[in-house]
Amino acid sequence: LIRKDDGYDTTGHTSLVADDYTPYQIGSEGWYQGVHFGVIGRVRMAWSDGFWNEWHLFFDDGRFGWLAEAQGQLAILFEERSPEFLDYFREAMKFSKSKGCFLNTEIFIEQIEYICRDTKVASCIALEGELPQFIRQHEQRVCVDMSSLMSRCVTAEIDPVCGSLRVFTGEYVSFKDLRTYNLRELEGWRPR
Amino acid sequence: VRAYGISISFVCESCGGIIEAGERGGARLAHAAKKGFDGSGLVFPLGSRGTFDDIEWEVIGCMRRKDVDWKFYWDEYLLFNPYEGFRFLINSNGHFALATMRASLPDLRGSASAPLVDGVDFKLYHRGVSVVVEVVGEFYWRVKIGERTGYADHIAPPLCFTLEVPNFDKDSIDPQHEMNYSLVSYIERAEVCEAFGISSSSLSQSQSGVFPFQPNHYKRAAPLMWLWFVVAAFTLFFLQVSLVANCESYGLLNVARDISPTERDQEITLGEVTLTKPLQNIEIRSHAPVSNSWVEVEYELESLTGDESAWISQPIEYYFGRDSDGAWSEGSQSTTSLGGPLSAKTYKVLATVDAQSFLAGNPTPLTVSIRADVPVYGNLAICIFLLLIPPVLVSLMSSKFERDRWAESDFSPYDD
Repeated sequence: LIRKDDGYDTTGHTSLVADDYTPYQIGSEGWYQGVHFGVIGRVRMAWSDGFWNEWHLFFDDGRFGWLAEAQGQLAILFEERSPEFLDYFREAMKFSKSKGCFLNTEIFIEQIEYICRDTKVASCIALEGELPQFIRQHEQRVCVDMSSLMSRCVTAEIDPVCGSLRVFTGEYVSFKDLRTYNLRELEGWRPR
Repeated sequence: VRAYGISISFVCESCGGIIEAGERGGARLAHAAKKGFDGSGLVFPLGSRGTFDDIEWEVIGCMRRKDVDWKFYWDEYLLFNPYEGFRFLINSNGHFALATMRASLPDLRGSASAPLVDGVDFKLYHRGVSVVVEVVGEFYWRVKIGERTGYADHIAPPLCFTLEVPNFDKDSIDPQHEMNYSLVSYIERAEVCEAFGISSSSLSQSQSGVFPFQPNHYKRAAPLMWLWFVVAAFTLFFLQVSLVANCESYGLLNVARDISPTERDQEITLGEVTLTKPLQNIEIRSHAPVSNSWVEVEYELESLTGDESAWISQPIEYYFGRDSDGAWSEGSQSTTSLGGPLSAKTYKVLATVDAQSFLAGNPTPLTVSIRADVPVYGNLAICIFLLLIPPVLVSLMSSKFERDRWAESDFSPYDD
């Protein structure tokens, strides 16, 4: 369903999210930098060498964010929407083409140096819950992951068809940092 | 499958076939059956669980890797916890280490051989290429037997910072290549046994050699031992100073007389001495002008009440001459000995004398000087020497440990 000014439209159906061994679920809650959040949606991504989850978060201060969960590594990310930032990012990364290798490309954001660690073409294989925008299943994106000396990180997503750019900035976190609860029961396991 | 939805490669324990998950569901046989690991022969079987730092981990895979040039092998067990992610338990030469993949970058400060990670300085220990020789279990990446990985180990015991370049098929690391970083922490065998609830005899491989980032316990102990030495030496020194300051060192008796041959082996009374402190030592100094001959004196200090006595034996001998190496001499005409302790009483000083000159019928002159409560310095020197032994030994062992650690490295600071 897509929310419009005068109601909702049905745009299609998505696959059920394939079961995976994640402790998170819609309804899980936690804390990040002292602000409480709830998990309200999920996008499951796949690429040639694996899968990851992007959990859509709603914070008590009104912000929306993402919890990226890949091979047990967690990151909290917020979308950078200002046109000036996107222009700067596009220029700094020399995005002359919508698809390409940016490995080891450097960029400075607020005096922090980020280096591109990974570039891959991925697609959404399933979604559930509330999401901030319309995502078409199996739509491809070029995902560029960047890390800093500290725990800060940046993820950029490029639409290989139209070249549109979305940038998310945030930091790597640990399971313990988020103090999550209302987690999914995993047989034989208990959170620390 | 233990980490479903996360693992993408599954290696059959029975036949060694590798099945890979497809991007959009389904699976394919990526590698035909090949005799691989005998899963039952693993130190930590698939499905076994161990607890490190209060986090329980399950063994879901194991990979045996070999350094292409140095031909040494090690096993990497993939550990999984659905809340915490993955760790690698490394077993090499009976040594163990736990590796955590790092998302943050190291600070290379312009030098790839000296990274700074979380404020810790690492030193380059080894650069090499590894190849996967055996696999079993499941993995979150596509495992391939024969896959080569470029790697560089940087050490700061008990830590190691490892940089890996997957799918490495060149002679040098391409700066445009993807790199993975991991922080590896050495684990003592006892800790591994405790973590998995097994006995040390279950770890079939005995530990050999010094592991590159094995902590040097001698190095940790040495400063503490030197500190103890300094504290103990100063304490003893001040104790000595205070003891010496309290010594009255008073003279009791000075006697000079000729001992005739008829007095040989007779008890001769030299006089009486009165000791005034509750407890004190006594020093007897004997002088005889012997020349290529000897005198032997046995002193006995016997209290007048007959309940306390002390014996001191003093050989006095002095020889000299000249041979092909020149002049030589041996012994002395004077001897000093300490005795006691004796309590505050009056003592009769008796001497029994024998001398070489008696054989020729000649007397021997003897001068005796007795003092009480004299300061003694030799004990302090002996104590300090004994106290020095442990820190010196530990420092030497620490140095040997470090040399052994770097013996296998091409980047040893001990190489000229």
